Amino acid sequence: MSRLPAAVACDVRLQYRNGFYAAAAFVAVVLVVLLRWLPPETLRLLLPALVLANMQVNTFYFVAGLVLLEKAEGSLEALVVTPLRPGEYLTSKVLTLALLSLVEAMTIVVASYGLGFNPWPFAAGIALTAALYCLYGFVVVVRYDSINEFLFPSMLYTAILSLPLLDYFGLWEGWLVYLHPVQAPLVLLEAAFRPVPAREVAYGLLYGTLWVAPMAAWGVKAFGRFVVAREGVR
Amino acid sequence: MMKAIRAVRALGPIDARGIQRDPLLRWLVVYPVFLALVIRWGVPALAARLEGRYDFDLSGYYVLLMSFLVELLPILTGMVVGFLLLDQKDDGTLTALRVTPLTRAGYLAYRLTMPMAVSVVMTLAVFPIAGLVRVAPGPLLLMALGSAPLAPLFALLLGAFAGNKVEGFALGKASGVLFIPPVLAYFVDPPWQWAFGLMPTYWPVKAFWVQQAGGRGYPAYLLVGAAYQALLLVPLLRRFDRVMQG
Repeated sequence: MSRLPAAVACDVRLQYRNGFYAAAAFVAVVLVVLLRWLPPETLRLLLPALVLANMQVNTFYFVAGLVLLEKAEGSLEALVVTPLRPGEYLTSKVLTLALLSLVEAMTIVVASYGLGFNPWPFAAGIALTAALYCLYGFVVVVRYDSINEFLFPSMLYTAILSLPLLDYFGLWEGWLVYLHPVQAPLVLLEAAFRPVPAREVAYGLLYGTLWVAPMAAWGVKAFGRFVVAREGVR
Repeated sequence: MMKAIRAVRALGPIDARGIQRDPLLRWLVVYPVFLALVIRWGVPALAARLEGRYDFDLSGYYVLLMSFLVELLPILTGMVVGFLLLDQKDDGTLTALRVTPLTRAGYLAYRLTMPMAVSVVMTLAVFPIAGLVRVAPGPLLLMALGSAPLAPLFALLLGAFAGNKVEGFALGKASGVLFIPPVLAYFVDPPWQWAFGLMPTYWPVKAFWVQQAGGRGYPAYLLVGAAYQALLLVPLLRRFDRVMQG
């Protein structure tokens, strides 16, 4: 069981050294300065969407960067001969980036909006988003070898992730959006700022959690295919 | 001039090979056109919907939406070239250049002009295709030139300060917020609006608003912006040169 804490410590060191925390702090400060100009009712609408959009970078793109670097240095292939299992490797990435996102988002919200929100659904929404985005990011990026191959297609991948925001801002409506995995954490983030019916909160928690397991399985499978077997590396 | 031609002839193929290996150039052509078409068809449809549902007139914000592109296209180009530099840094191409007859000045000049040229071409292509607002060819060319230095600015920012790909993403996140202030400035009246002038991204965007409002003084904003961007490029170039020297 000491393998996972070791992996987490290693990931935290790597992320700190590569400026992840510094970048998050800088973005939080700039956003707070800008958001303080806005009235509370605008913030209540904007903050859940903003937190979700910001998490795309914190989780999806940061995982992509880490995996590409580990691939370039050969340390990803080296993991195959260590006792660390693919599931633990992925769990460590999710835990560390979820924590980074949680601290950054809490700072932004408390400093710009104040304490008048419910932290529990907010934290649950962040944790679920981090898990889904990190695993999806890993599955997508592990097929690529360089950033330049990955950069433009990634914009399409993240556009797919952001579809529920269309419904959120009332641009496209329909029950179909509730099938989208990211709709679940988005409902939770919304519930932190506005009264949301209890059944919607229950949907957010259950449906979001329901998606984590197949995404994790997909991640482990991709690890086996593209890292262990080195299949189809272009 | 001879030096510049030599630099392009020496480095062009390396970049082109890098681009062939990475389907970058294809994307640089496809993505802006795709984006422009999404704007051309998507935005009016969205406007009709907002009009019907909320009685909200989006067409009043078309100028703001399109001014976004004035900064987006050079920044996007700069980030892509910046990541190309980081890929070259990681695989040792930059180090290998030191033993070629190519002069450092020639290399740096090439690194400045290439992203600028790409950014100008993209801007000239995207605005007419997107077609939400009318920009005459003359003013459009001036806008494209006035915002072009943002491309090498972002490319060198990544090249000079990021040690590797992962740091590149962290830095990309941090510099991404520079994108927001010019848009917010739209809702802030002068004199407070001038505070946004600290951001190099503000000036070309502001020039676009002035030009669209029929102001004849818009080239002044472009000049101030270009001068400011050039000023910021100097220390970045120095630092990137030092990084190149290892």
